[in-house]
Amino acid sequence: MKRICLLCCFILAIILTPVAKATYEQAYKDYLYQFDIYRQNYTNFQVAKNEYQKFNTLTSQTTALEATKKMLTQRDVLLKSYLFALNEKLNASGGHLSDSDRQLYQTLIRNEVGFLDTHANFIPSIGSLSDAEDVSEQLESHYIVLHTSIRQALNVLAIGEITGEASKYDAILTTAQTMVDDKTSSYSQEKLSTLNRWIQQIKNKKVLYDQKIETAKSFNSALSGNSIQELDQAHTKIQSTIADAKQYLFEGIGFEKELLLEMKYLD
Amino acid sequence: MDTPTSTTPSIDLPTAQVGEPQPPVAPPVPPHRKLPLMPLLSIIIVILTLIAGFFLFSQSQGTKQAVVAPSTPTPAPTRVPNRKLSTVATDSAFMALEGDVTSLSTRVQEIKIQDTTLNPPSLELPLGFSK
Repeated sequence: MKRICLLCCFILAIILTPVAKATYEQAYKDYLYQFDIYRQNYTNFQVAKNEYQKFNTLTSQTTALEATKKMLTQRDVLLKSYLFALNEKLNASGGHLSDSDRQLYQTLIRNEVGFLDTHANFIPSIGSLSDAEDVSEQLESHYIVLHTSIRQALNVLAIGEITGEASKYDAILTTAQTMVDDKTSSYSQEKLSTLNRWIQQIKNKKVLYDQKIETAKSFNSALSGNSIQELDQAHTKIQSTIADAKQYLFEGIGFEKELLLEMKYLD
Repeated sequence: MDTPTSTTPSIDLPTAQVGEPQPPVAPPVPPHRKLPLMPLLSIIIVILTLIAGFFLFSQSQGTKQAVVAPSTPTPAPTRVPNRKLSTVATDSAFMALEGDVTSLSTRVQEIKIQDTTLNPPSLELPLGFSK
């Protein structure tokens, strides 16, 4: 019964992964579309603002207010569409992410979407440019929190992808080691010594990889900053640590190739 | 004794006396043109230099070709010929493992740490009305 359930889950995963990927691609296209609309609205807002600041007439003020409200509305729509695409990317990452990680960051994303929905409800009641400034400042003051959640989700996606491949690295090592142990009698002592040295090298690389990944996860959990620039710098540092982990993994895979090559021959 | 009045030799040219028929005058001989020796020598030297250079170049090319195309193939230095295959080499599980390592290597190499398509939108947040 348990095997049947596992088999069903496996089949569902195979069927649903392309569906999830299609959903992500659709969400990403929608995000790009909303971004185009936002750019247009922002340009119109800038023009209206400049005219108001130049002429300071009632008409220009009204036009600027309408353009500002339209831009603020589209800004919230844009950020929500981006978060939705990010959410779908987390869904489409398949088995690379642990369920707990996926749920954690999808919860963060849901919280941010909730904030944006609440924020968008304030926009229709804007009656003056001063009101518009106040509503905009609500988003500005929250933006670092929003940006932190986004960066954390992006780092988790990168970590998840590498972690998925690292598990295959372990599986290959385990299988190779079992083969060596089964065929010990067919290899000379010198050959066995060589094979065991390669196996040790592969394990050592994995240890280095694990250290880097744990460091990246730890930094990611504690990601914070007083400004967007600080956040981006911390994010770059985490990505650099993940890149180091990837490099260790890649070098270890090279050692696995050498091990298999040595296993292939008796001398 | 007559002493010579002049030491310089004199050339007696026929002079026509008045009334007598004029002696035939040879047509003027065009002055002997000396070929410009220096420019001609320079041109010859340049031509000879070009020919020598071309000859040397073609020689070196010929030598290079001889080096580049050996008559016998060079064996790969990293593989020792006549290595004995182990019993595991023909095992289907082992061959599958080799395939797994190769595909894993490709996948890891292709992993993008920073997926720039998912960069958040860069927004100018302050409205800038109150300055």
